[in-house]
Amino acid sequence: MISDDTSYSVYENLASELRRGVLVLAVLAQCGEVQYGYSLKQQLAAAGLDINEGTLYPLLRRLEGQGLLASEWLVTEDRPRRYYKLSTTGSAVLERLSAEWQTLVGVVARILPEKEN
Amino acid sequence: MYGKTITQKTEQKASDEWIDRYVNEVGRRLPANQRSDVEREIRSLIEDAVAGRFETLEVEGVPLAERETVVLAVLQAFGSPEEIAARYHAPRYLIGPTIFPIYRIVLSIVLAVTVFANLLGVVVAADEQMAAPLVETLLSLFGSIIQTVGMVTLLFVALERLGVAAESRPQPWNPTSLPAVKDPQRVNLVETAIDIGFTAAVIVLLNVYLNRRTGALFYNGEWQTMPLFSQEFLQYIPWLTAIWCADILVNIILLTRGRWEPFTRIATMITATAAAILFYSMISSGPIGAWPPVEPAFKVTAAIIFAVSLVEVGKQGWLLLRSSNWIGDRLHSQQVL
Repeated sequence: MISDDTSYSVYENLASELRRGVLVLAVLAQCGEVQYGYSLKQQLAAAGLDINEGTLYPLLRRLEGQGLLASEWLVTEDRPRRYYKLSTTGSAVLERLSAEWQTLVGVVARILPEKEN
Repeated sequence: MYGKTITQKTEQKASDEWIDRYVNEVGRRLPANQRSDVEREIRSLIEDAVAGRFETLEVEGVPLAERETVVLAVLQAFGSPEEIAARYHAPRYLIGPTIFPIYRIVLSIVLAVTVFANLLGVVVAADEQMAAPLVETLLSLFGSIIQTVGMVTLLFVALERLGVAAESRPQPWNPTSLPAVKDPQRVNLVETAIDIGFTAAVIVLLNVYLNRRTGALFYNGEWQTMPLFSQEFLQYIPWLTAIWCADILVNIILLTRGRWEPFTRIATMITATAAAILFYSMISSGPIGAWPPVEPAFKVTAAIIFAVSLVEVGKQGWLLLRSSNWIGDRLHSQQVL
């Protein structure tokens, strides 16, 4: 017998894994325009994707390391900030990932009602 | 007014101290080439988050909290320095999973050689009546083992750091290559490593010690020192060394491949046949030992090695035939019938 606490904890882990999977797509999509870490976090939160700082900021560096984002330091509002923007490779990857996402949404949508029935 | 400015400055100093501590704790967990850049970015992100929280509080009409309280809340949201540093920097292995199996094999071989070389040293010292006390001998053996493990580990850590493992690509895998649960072709790694160590020790013993040293013998009523082996036997040493070196090479190939294959079975048959021919020649020709009283013991030993070599040739030949498709098919058809 699985307790409610265990069930909730399993759910939390799985939901977090699911969100992490789509986070790359969401970040790349938002970086079509120049973004700094905090502004990106705010925009994602406003869109309904509230991501922990400890997850989001290292991800930006990783995507930059993979050549999907480009970055530079700029001083705005008297404060130095690192700004990120989608690179050419990033744009191409985003396009393919978006298509993949649309396919997945369609596939999962077809599967879920079957399970419910 | 003056008092308020002093309070604000004190509070700013206290909250900056928390940010400094946090950034420092993250930075010291990162490699030197990333440290300053990530530290600068995290500091900037924390400052943004603190400013953002104050803006939110103002918009929501909540009474402004002390800056230190807000900074601590932001740091709490960022997560522990260990966690965030781990996310900025992919985990690094001392010895990664790619080269770890090779590390284990090499360590087994080198350890086996070390233990045999040490035991050999004890035997030689005892023969020359220079044996050290048991405790000293064991401590020396323990020291050698620690030194060997350390050296091999350091070598592999250096290989890992140089990125040797990163260059290797996984081989394409085919499910039909899966070995049977009880696989006669599987190599016993420990046994093979011990075999290598033992053969290496015998090569050293034969070439370095027994080749030129003398043995003590109570002969004709008094102790005499004489060469251990005859001149005829000494001529065999280069051949024996060549065969045993080939044997070590085959065993190293077996360790790296992990399975017996036709070419390793054929190579083992060739070395065993060569050994059998050599030992037959020793038995049938001149004396092996330099002293007549020990000659029967030497001849019997040579005969045993000759017989073992022949058995090995037969065993490998049979296993080679059994592993071939022709025999496998025949056995299968008999079972079906």
